[in-house]
Amino acid sequence: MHSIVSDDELLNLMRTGDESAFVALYRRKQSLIYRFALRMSGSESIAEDVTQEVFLHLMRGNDHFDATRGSFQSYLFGIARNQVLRRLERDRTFRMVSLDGNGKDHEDGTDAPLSETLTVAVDLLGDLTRRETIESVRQAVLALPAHYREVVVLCDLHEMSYQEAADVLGCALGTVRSRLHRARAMLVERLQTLKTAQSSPATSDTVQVLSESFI
Amino acid sequence: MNMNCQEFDQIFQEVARSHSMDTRQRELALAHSAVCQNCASRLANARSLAEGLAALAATTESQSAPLRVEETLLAAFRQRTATVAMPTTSNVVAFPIRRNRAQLWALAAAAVLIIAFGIIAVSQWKKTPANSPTRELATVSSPSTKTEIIQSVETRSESVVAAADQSRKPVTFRKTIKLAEESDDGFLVSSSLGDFTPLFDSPNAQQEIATDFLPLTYDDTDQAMESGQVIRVQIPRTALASFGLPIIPERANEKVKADLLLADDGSARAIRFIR
Repeated sequence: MHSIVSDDELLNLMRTGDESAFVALYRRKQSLIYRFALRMSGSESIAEDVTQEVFLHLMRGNDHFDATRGSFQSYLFGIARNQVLRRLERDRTFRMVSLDGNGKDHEDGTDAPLSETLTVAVDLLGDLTRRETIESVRQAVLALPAHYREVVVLCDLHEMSYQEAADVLGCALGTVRSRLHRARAMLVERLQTLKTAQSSPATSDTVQVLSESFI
Repeated sequence: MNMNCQEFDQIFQEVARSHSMDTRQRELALAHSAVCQNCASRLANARSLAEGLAALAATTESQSAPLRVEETLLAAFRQRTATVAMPTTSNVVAFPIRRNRAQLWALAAAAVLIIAFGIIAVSQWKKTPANSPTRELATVSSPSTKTEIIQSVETRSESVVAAADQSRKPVTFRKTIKLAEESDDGFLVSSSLGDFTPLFDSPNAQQEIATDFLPLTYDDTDQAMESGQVIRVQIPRTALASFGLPIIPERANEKVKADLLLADDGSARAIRFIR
């Protein structure tokens, strides 16, 4: 029966003590939250904790969901995002890698000039196996600074629209767009670096071209 | 009208992802990439990245939280619902929030203690009903003070000592504490965790050395209690390890005394060890 009930209604039922509503809401949303936390942190343990914290937060009802400010799903992602960032800050498990060399964040939403190293004459991932490709991309995503990583996770991995991501992050749509643009450029650059590192010493024209582009 | 590299830069990522976009813009971008080698490379890289991200998303698409998370949350939900439903003067709601694995183990140890104590207490009470003084404290209504109802079943056994000890003389209350009750066993049950202090006037009590109360709940904030009970229990010395306290290997099989602080809802809030 709960499958046709909206998220908002389930939330209200849950807050009146309806256990089946809570279970339905949890089962409907838990995988989204878990995957978001997993993709942001790369840690199953953190993803598990964050999922639990998000729903405990809902139970406590410390703050109230306001449907006029965005969807319930965005609200959940917002809680999850705060939890993930808190955990990452606390654990400091992941080293933030600055790909532009200066480590500056562009909070004003403007795009920094992209490195010319983006222009290479080869398909970066063409000769990697599928598994290597996925692992490389995963590592590259995890190496992004958090506020670039989260737009990639939301827009590219969760396939959210810019507006949905902006609702989750509480920022302007233009900021999401510019951060995503820069984050993708950083990912390409990172993958180039990984590709170069994995290649044997310059034995091919392709590697030679890559090497020259980084000098 | 031809597209230049700057204009291409604005849209090439959308072109790479085949997003729904203006057909004319898309055609212009593709035409530009056909004549500009740099932009063609950027478009190829963007397509590769998009494919890689899609593959990464696909590999994690079926993942979800383990069943134990649902079980934990459901238990917390039931506990909260039961607490809210009970008429109580306390707004305290204990959540078994998991903060790290060490605390989870401590919680598990506390749960085992509570269950073991409950079983022993009930079995002893059934065995010796005539010798077990059962006492019920009545509610005392006062316009100026509020007294909690405390129902206590006092039991005696080798492993559990929660009964009144006539040799112990209760002494006066410390400072001014509202909502405080002094039980016959000499414990002061008061409004905050730090005020739970055994007040015995006996030589034995004075010789006791106690640790601080170690919290057993894991909420982010310290929760004040309006009332509760402190019970004296004996637990295996190995339980000390769960709280980060040292164990002497030669005495690992012995038991150690502990005071367990119980909230009105029966949940254990804190424990301290006695020597």
